[in-house]
Amino acid sequence: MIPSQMWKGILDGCVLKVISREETYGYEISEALKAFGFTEIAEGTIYPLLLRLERNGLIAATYRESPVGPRRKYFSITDAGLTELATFYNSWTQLASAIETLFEGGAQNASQSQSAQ
Amino acid sequence: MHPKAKALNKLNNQLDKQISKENQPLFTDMMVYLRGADISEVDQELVRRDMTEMVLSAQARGEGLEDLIKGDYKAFCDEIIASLPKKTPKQKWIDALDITFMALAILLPILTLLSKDFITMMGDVFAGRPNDLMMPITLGQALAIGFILLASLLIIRFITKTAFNIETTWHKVLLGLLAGLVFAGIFLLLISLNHIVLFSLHILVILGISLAFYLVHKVLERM
Repeated sequence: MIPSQMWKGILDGCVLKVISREETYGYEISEALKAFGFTEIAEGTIYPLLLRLERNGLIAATYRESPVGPRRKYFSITDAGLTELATFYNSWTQLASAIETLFEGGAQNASQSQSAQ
Repeated sequence: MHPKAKALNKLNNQLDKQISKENQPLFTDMMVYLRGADISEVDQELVRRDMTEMVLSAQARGEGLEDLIKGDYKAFCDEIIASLPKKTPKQKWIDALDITFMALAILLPILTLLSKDFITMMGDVFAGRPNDLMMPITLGQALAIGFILLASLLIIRFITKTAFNIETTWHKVLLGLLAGLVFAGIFLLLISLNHIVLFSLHILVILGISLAFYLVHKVLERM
Protein backbone atom coordinates (compact mmCIF):
# COMPACT_ATOMS: atom_id res chain seq x y z
CA MET A 1 0.00 0.00 0.00
CA ILE A 2 1.37 3.39 -1.02
CA PRO A 3 1.06 5.97 1.79
CA SER A 4 -1.21 8.92 1.00
CA GLN A 5 1.63 11.39 1.60
CA MET A 6 3.52 9.84 -1.32
CA TRP A 7 0.42 10.02 -3.50
CA LYS A 8 -0.13 13.72 -2.97
CA GLY A 9 2.49 14.92 -5.42
CA ILE A 10 1.92 12.41 -8.18
CA LEU A 11 -1.81 11.75 -8.28
CA ASP A 12 -2.51 15.02 -10.16
CA GLY A 13 -0.13 13.97 -12.95
CA CYS A 14 -1.58 10.43 -13.13
CA VAL A 15 -5.16 11.73 -13.31
CA LEU A 16 -4.14 14.23 -16.02
CA LYS A 17 -2.58 11.37 -17.99
CA VAL A 18 -5.77 9.27 -17.77
CA ILE A 19 -7.88 12.25 -18.89
CA SER A 20 -5.47 13.02 -21.75
CA ARG A 21 -6.20 9.59 -23.27
CA GLU A 22 -9.93 10.28 -23.69
CA GLU A 23 -12.76 12.30 -22.20
CA THR A 24 -13.78 10.58 -18.99
CA TYR A 25 -15.45 10.97 -15.57
CA GLY A 26 -14.54 10.44 -11.90
CA TYR A 27 -15.47 6.81 -11.42
CA GLU A 28 -13.97 5.78 -14.75
CA ILE A 29 -10.70 7.53 -13.78
CA SER A 30 -10.51 5.65 -10.47
CA GLU A 31 -11.23 2.38 -12.29
CA ALA A 32 -8.59 3.16 -14.94
CA LEU A 33 -5.98 3.86 -12.26
CA LYS A 34 -6.90 0.56 -10.60
CA ALA A 35 -6.52 -1.26 -13.91
CA PHE A 36 -3.02 0.20 -14.29
CA GLY A 37 -2.09 -1.36 -10.97
CA PHE A 38 -2.35 1.67 -8.73
CA THR A 39 -3.54 0.80 -5.27
CA GLU A 40 -7.18 1.54 -4.85
CA ILE A 41 -7.93 5.22 -5.34
CA ALA A 42 -11.56 5.93 -4.42
CA GLU A 43 -13.65 8.23 -6.58
CA GLY A 44 -13.95 10.50 -3.55
CA THR A 45 -10.18 10.94 -3.44
CA ILE A 46 -10.17 12.09 -7.04
CA TYR A 47 -13.14 14.49 -6.89
CA PRO A 48 -11.48 17.40 -4.99
CA LEU A 49 -8.45 16.96 -7.22
CA LEU A 50 -10.62 17.24 -10.36
CA LEU A 51 -12.18 20.43 -8.98
CA ARG A 52 -8.72 21.88 -8.46
CA LEU A 53 -7.46 20.86 -11.92
CA GLU A 54 -10.59 22.37 -13.47
CA ARG A 55 -10.20 25.60 -11.50
CA ASN A 56 -6.57 25.86 -12.65
CA GLY A 57 -7.67 25.44 -16.27
CA LEU A 58 -5.80 22.15 -16.78
CA ILE A 59 -8.99 20.23 -17.58
CA ALA A 60 -12.38 21.31 -18.91
CA ALA A 61 -15.73 19.87 -17.81
CA THR A 62 -18.86 19.11 -19.83
CA TYR A 63 -22.10 17.74 -18.43
CA ARG A 64 -23.53 14.80 -20.36
CA GLU A 65 -26.57 12.60 -19.84
CA SER A 66 -25.96 9.56 -17.67
CA PRO A 67 -28.12 6.46 -17.39
CA VAL A 68 -28.63 7.05 -13.65
CA GLY A 69 -30.49 10.36 -13.82
CA PRO A 70 -28.46 13.47 -13.12
CA ARG A 71 -26.09 14.63 -15.81
CA ARG A 72 -22.54 13.44 -15.32
CA LYS A 73 -19.46 15.64 -15.42
CA TYR A 74 -16.99 14.56 -18.13
CA PHE A 75 -13.48 15.94 -18.25
CA SER A 76 -11.09 16.58 -21.14
CA ILE A 77 -7.55 17.92 -21.03
CA THR A 78 -6.80 21.49 -22.10
CA ASP A 79 -3.64 22.83 -23.79
CA ALA A 80 -2.44 24.11 -20.42
CA GLY A 81 -3.10 20.61 -19.07
CA LEU A 82 -0.99 19.02 -21.80
CA THR A 83 1.90 21.36 -20.98
CA GLU A 84 1.52 20.54 -17.27
CA LEU A 85 1.46 16.83 -18.09
CA ALA A 86 4.74 17.12 -20.04
CA THR A 87 6.34 19.00 -17.12
CA PHE A 88 5.07 16.37 -14.67
CA TYR A 89 6.44 13.48 -16.71
CA ASN A 90 9.76 15.24 -17.09
CA SER A 91 10.01 15.79 -13.32
CA TRP A 92 8.91 12.23 -12.65
CA THR A 93 11.54 10.77 -14.98
CA GLN A 94 14.24 12.82 -13.25
CA LEU A 95 13.01 11.74 -9.83
CA ALA A 96 12.66 8.09 -10.84
CA SER A 97 16.16 7.99 -12.29
CA ALA A 98 17.61 9.69 -9.21
CA ILE A 99 15.91 7.17 -6.91
CA GLU A 100 17.02 4.31 -9.12
CA THR A 101 20.64 5.52 -9.04
CA LEU A 102 20.51 6.08 -5.29
CA PHE A 103 19.14 2.64 -4.52
CA GLU A 104 21.21 0.73 -7.09
CA GLY A 105 24.28 2.66 -6.00
CA GLY A 106 23.38 1.83 -2.41
CA ALA A 107 23.19 -1.88 -3.21
CA GLN A 108 26.56 -1.74 -4.99
CA ASN A 109 28.12 0.11 -2.07
CA ALA A 110 26.75 -2.50 0.30
CA SER A 111 28.12 -5.40 -1.77
CA GLN A 112 31.47 -3.62 -2.16
CA SER A 113 31.80 -3.18 1.58
CA GLN A 114 30.82 -6.85 2.09
CA SER A 115 33.46 -8.13 -0.39
CA ALA A 116 36.10 -5.94 1.25
CA GLN A 117 35.55 -7.79 4.53
CA MET B 1 -30.07 33.09 -2.80
CA HIS B 2 -28.54 33.95 -6.17
CA PRO B 3 -30.92 33.00 -9.04
CA LYS B 4 -28.34 30.60 -10.49
CA ALA B 5 -27.88 28.93 -7.09
CA LYS B 6 -31.65 28.83 -6.62
CA ALA B 7 -32.20 27.03 -9.95
CA LEU B 8 -29.50 24.48 -9.05
CA ASN B 9 -30.94 24.14 -5.56
CA LYS B 10 -34.34 23.26 -7.00
CA LEU B 11 -32.81 20.65 -9.30
CA ASN B 12 -30.71 19.22 -6.46
CA ASN B 13 -33.71 18.98 -4.13
CA GLN B 14 -35.44 16.87 -6.80
CA LEU B 15 -32.44 14.58 -7.26
CA ASP B 16 -31.91 14.35 -3.52
CA LYS B 17 -35.08 12.28 -3.21
CA GLN B 18 -33.39 9.41 -5.05
CA ILE B 19 -30.62 9.10 -2.46
CA SER B 20 -31.17 5.96 -0.41
CA LYS B 21 -32.08 5.95 3.27
CA GLU B 22 -28.68 4.43 4.10
CA ASN B 23 -26.75 7.19 2.35
CA GLN B 24 -29.02 10.09 3.28
CA PRO B 25 -27.85 10.91 6.86
CA LEU B 26 -24.17 11.09 6.00
CA PHE B 27 -24.87 12.89 2.72
CA THR B 28 -26.90 15.50 4.59
CA ASP B 29 -24.12 15.96 7.17
CA MET B 30 -21.66 16.59 4.35
CA MET B 31 -23.91 19.12 2.65
CA VAL B 32 -24.60 20.91 5.95
CA TYR B 33 -20.86 21.15 6.54
CA LEU B 34 -20.34 22.59 3.04
CA ARG B 35 -23.08 25.16 3.70
CA GLY B 36 -20.96 26.67 6.44
CA ALA B 37 -17.89 26.89 4.22
CA ASP B 38 -16.41 30.07 2.87
CA ILE B 39 -17.42 29.29 -0.74
CA SER B 40 -20.14 30.76 -2.96
CA GLU B 41 -23.69 29.38 -2.92
CA VAL B 42 -23.38 28.56 -6.62
CA ASP B 43 -20.25 26.48 -5.93
CA GLN B 44 -22.04 24.79 -3.01
CA GLU B 45 -24.89 23.76 -5.27
CA LEU B 46 -22.53 22.67 -8.07
CA VAL B 47 -20.64 20.43 -5.64
CA ARG B 48 -23.95 19.13 -4.33
CA ARG B 49 -25.02 18.23 -7.87
CA ASP B 50 -21.71 16.45 -8.58
CA MET B 51 -21.89 14.62 -5.27
CA THR B 52 -25.51 13.59 -5.84
CA GLU B 53 -24.61 12.17 -9.24
CA MET B 54 -21.69 10.28 -7.69
CA VAL B 55 -23.87 8.85 -4.90
CA LEU B 56 -26.70 7.86 -7.27
CA SER B 57 -24.21 6.19 -9.64
CA ALA B 58 -22.66 4.36 -6.67
CA GLN B 59 -26.15 3.24 -5.58
CA ALA B 60 -26.81 1.93 -9.10
CA ARG B 61 -23.60 -0.14 -8.80
CA GLY B 62 -24.80 -1.47 -5.46
CA GLU B 63 -22.28 0.61 -3.53
CA GLY B 64 -22.68 3.21 -0.79
CA LEU B 65 -21.14 6.49 0.27
CA GLU B 66 -18.54 4.61 2.29
CA ASP B 67 -17.22 3.02 -0.94
CA LEU B 68 -17.06 6.42 -2.58
CA ILE B 69 -15.22 8.20 0.19
CA LYS B 70 -12.88 5.93 2.02
CA GLY B 71 -11.96 7.31 5.40
CA ASP B 72 -12.47 10.75 6.83
CA TYR B 73 -15.60 12.53 5.54
CA LYS B 74 -14.71 15.85 7.13
CA ALA B 75 -11.25 15.75 5.54
CA PHE B 76 -12.91 14.99 2.19
CA CYS B 77 -15.16 18.05 2.55
CA ASP B 78 -12.21 20.18 3.65
CA GLU B 79 -10.34 19.14 0.50
CA ILE B 80 -13.30 20.12 -1.66
CA ILE B 81 -13.52 23.49 0.08
CA ALA B 82 -9.78 24.04 -0.38
CA SER B 83 -10.13 23.26 -4.11
CA LEU B 84 -12.73 25.98 -4.67
CA PRO B 85 -12.29 29.77 -4.76
CA LYS B 86 -12.89 31.50 -1.42
CA LYS B 87 -15.53 34.19 -1.10
CA THR B 88 -13.99 37.65 -1.49
CA PRO B 89 -14.35 40.08 1.46
CA LYS B 90 -16.73 42.11 -0.75
CA GLN B 91 -18.91 39.05 -1.38
CA LYS B 92 -18.93 38.25 2.34
CA TRP B 93 -20.23 41.75 3.09
CA ILE B 94 -22.88 41.51 0.39
CA ASP B 95 -24.02 38.12 1.75
CA ALA B 96 -24.11 39.37 5.34
CA LEU B 97 -26.14 42.45 4.35
CA ASP B 98 -28.42 40.29 2.21
CA ILE B 99 -29.25 38.00 5.16
CA THR B 100 -29.70 40.98 7.49
CA PHE B 101 -32.11 42.79 5.18
CA MET B 102 -34.08 39.62 4.51
CA ALA B 103 -34.36 38.93 8.25
CA LEU B 104 -35.41 42.53 8.94
CA ALA B 105 -38.04 42.36 6.20
CA ILE B 106 -39.54 39.32 7.99
CA LEU B 107 -39.00 40.32 11.63
CA LEU B 108 -40.27 43.88 11.43
CA PRO B 109 -43.83 43.02 10.32
CA ILE B 110 -43.96 39.96 12.63
CA LEU B 111 -42.97 41.89 15.75
CA THR B 112 -45.35 44.67 14.76
CA LEU B 113 -48.29 42.31 14.24
CA LEU B 114 -47.57 40.58 17.55
CA SER B 115 -47.42 43.78 19.58
CA LYS B 116 -50.12 44.85 22.03
CA ASP B 117 -50.43 48.23 20.31
CA PHE B 118 -51.32 46.59 17.01
CA ILE B 119 -54.10 44.60 18.67
CA THR B 120 -55.46 47.80 20.28
CA MET B 121 -55.17 49.56 16.93
CA MET B 122 -57.14 46.86 15.13
CA GLY B 123 -59.75 46.91 17.91
CA ASP B 124 -60.18 50.65 17.41
CA VAL B 125 -60.36 50.35 13.64
CA PHE B 126 -63.03 47.64 13.71
CA ALA B 127 -65.05 49.37 16.43
CA GLY B 128 -64.91 52.64 14.49
CA ARG B 129 -63.04 54.43 17.30
CA PRO B 130 -60.54 57.14 16.29
CA ASN B 131 -56.93 55.93 15.96
CA ASP B 132 -53.97 57.71 14.35
CA LEU B 133 -52.49 54.35 13.21
CA MET B 134 -49.14 55.27 14.77
CA MET B 135 -47.15 52.31 16.10
CA PRO B 136 -44.71 52.92 18.93
CA ILE B 137 -41.38 51.16 18.32
CA THR B 138 -39.97 50.16 21.69
CA LEU B 139 -36.43 49.50 22.86
CA GLY B 140 -37.55 45.94 23.62
CA GLN B 141 -38.57 45.35 20.00
CA ALA B 142 -35.39 46.89 18.59
CA LEU B 143 -33.16 44.81 20.87
CA ALA B 144 -35.20 41.67 20.19
CA ILE B 145 -34.58 42.07 16.46
CA GLY B 146 -30.85 42.44 17.02
CA PHE B 147 -30.84 39.50 19.40
CA ILE B 148 -32.73 37.21 17.02
CA LEU B 149 -30.38 38.12 14.14
CA LEU B 150 -27.25 37.46 16.16
CA ALA B 151 -28.57 34.25 17.71
CA SER B 152 -29.69 32.86 14.33
CA LEU B 153 -26.25 33.47 12.84
CA LEU B 154 -24.58 31.79 15.83
CA ILE B 155 -26.92 28.78 15.72
CA ILE B 156 -26.36 28.30 11.96
CA ARG B 157 -22.61 28.57 12.46
CA PHE B 158 -22.72 26.04 15.29
CA ILE B 159 -24.80 23.55 13.28
CA THR B 160 -22.64 23.74 10.15
CA LYS B 161 -19.32 23.55 11.98
CA THR B 162 -20.37 20.52 14.03
CA ALA B 163 -22.21 18.72 11.19
CA PHE B 164 -20.20 15.53 11.64
CA ASN B 165 -20.56 15.19 15.41
CA ILE B 166 -24.03 16.54 16.05
CA GLU B 167 -25.09 13.13 17.40
CA THR B 168 -22.95 13.50 20.50
CA THR B 169 -24.98 14.38 23.56
CA TRP B 170 -23.12 17.51 24.60
CA HIS B 171 -23.69 19.09 21.20
CA LYS B 172 -27.41 18.45 21.46
CA VAL B 173 -27.47 19.84 25.01
CA LEU B 174 -25.51 22.91 23.95
CA LEU B 175 -27.75 23.53 20.95
CA GLY B 176 -30.86 23.16 23.13
CA LEU B 177 -29.41 25.53 25.71
CA LEU B 178 -28.54 28.07 23.03
CA ALA B 179 -32.02 27.95 21.53
CA GLY B 180 -33.57 28.17 25.00
CA LEU B 181 -31.43 31.20 25.85
CA VAL B 182 -32.48 32.91 22.63
CA PHE B 183 -36.18 32.50 23.36
CA ALA B 184 -35.78 33.48 27.00
CA GLY B 185 -33.72 36.51 25.96
CA ILE B 186 -36.25 37.71 23.42
CA PHE B 187 -39.09 37.24 25.90
CA LEU B 188 -37.29 39.13 28.65
CA LEU B 189 -36.29 41.96 26.32
CA LEU B 190 -39.83 42.39 25.07
CA ILE B 191 -41.34 42.27 28.58
CA SER B 192 -38.85 44.47 30.41
CA LEU B 193 -38.07 47.10 27.80
CA ASN B 194 -41.40 47.43 26.05
CA HIS B 195 -42.37 50.56 27.95
CA ILE B 196 -39.41 52.53 26.56
CA VAL B 197 -40.71 53.98 23.29
CA LEU B 198 -37.94 54.98 20.89
CA PHE B 199 -40.17 56.57 18.26
CA SER B 200 -43.54 56.05 16.61
CA LEU B 201 -44.23 55.21 12.99
CA HIS B 202 -47.39 55.03 10.92
CA ILE B 203 -48.38 51.40 10.33
CA LEU B 204 -48.13 51.91 6.55
CA VAL B 205 -44.62 53.35 6.96
CA ILE B 206 -43.57 50.20 8.85
CA LEU B 207 -44.98 48.03 6.08
CA GLY B 208 -43.29 50.29 3.50
CA ILE B 209 -39.92 49.98 5.27
CA SER B 210 -40.34 46.18 5.44
CA LEU B 211 -41.08 46.09 1.72
CA ALA B 212 -38.05 48.30 1.02
CA PHE B 213 -35.84 45.95 3.08
CA TYR B 214 -37.20 43.02 1.10
CA LEU B 215 -36.41 44.76 -2.18
CA VAL B 216 -32.86 45.57 -1.00
CA HIS B 217 -32.48 41.85 -0.16
CA LYS B 218 -33.75 40.93 -3.64
CA VAL B 219 -31.12 43.21 -5.23
CA LEU B 220 -28.30 42.00 -2.96
CA GLU B 221 -29.00 38.28 -3.54
CA ARG B 222 -28.36 38.77 -7.25
CA MET B 223 -24.92 40.24 -6.63
